Amino acid sequence: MSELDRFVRLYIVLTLVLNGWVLFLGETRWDVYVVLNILSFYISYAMNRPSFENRRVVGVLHGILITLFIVLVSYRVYEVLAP
Amino acid sequence: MILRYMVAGLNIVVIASILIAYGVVTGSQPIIGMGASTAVIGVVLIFTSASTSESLLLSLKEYSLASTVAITSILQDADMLGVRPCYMRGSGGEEYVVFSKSAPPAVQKPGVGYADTPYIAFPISSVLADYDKLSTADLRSALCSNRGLCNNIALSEEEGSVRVVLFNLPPEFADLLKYPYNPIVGYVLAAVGRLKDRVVCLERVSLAGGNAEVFLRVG
Repeated sequence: MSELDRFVRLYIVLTLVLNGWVLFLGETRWDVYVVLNILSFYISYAMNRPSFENRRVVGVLHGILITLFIVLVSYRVYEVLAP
Repeated sequence: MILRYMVAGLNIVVIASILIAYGVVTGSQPIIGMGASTAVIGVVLIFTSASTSESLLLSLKEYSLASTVAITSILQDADMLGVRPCYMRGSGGEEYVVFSKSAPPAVQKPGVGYADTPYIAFPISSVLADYDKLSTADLRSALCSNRGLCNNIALSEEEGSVRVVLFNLPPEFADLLKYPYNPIVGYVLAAVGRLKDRVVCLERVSLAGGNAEVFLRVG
């Protein structure tokens, strides 16, 4: 199995476990699921470090995920500070 | 592009869209969350498939093995199997990896030649040709990011010897390390030789836990 396959499998399994867990806990905020998914992506990425031929495409993906993560977390922080 | 990831990604995005739509209609935040999370998986798979090419790697592996075996046969016929390759510049400034039993000669031309002692020289000027001048910081981008030889690199120097560690060598290429001259040795010799701009000779190569350690001597 290549590093890329290992990365994809770990990412999907980790996402399913974490999302299933928070669903079981009764989490009702939709953004929590997405944030945990993005965290799963980076955990899997750091553990496998797959090699990509087209670095620009991967860079765009990182940009999208990081931006989404920052927006969702910032919104929650803003909600706490200025309810 | 890896087609199976692309197809899986597109399917997942479609299913996620249906989940999100259902969640919006029923007003269920957890369903919207699961749908959005599933959509992210689909998007990641689509980007992943677009940034890799599996078949190219397999073709490259076969080509590398064929050329490595051919070079090994030439070295065997010339009774130079135990000789360590060295990086050096020829009289015209071209770069070579040279096999010779005694001190590295002044290489005049590639191939089998004689300059005080017999030698076999493989031209490597085209290797890493996109880097005119290499710096230590460039090594990772040259060998790992751009060539995919490793996930990370470590370089340490001590009294004229250089140790290069290539972390997580692709398993497709790890088998090539048993040959005296292979693409991985060629790349490392070219990179360190260009970095030092001096004669660099291979001392030994070892593979442990998927990491390759290349020991070089700078002349």
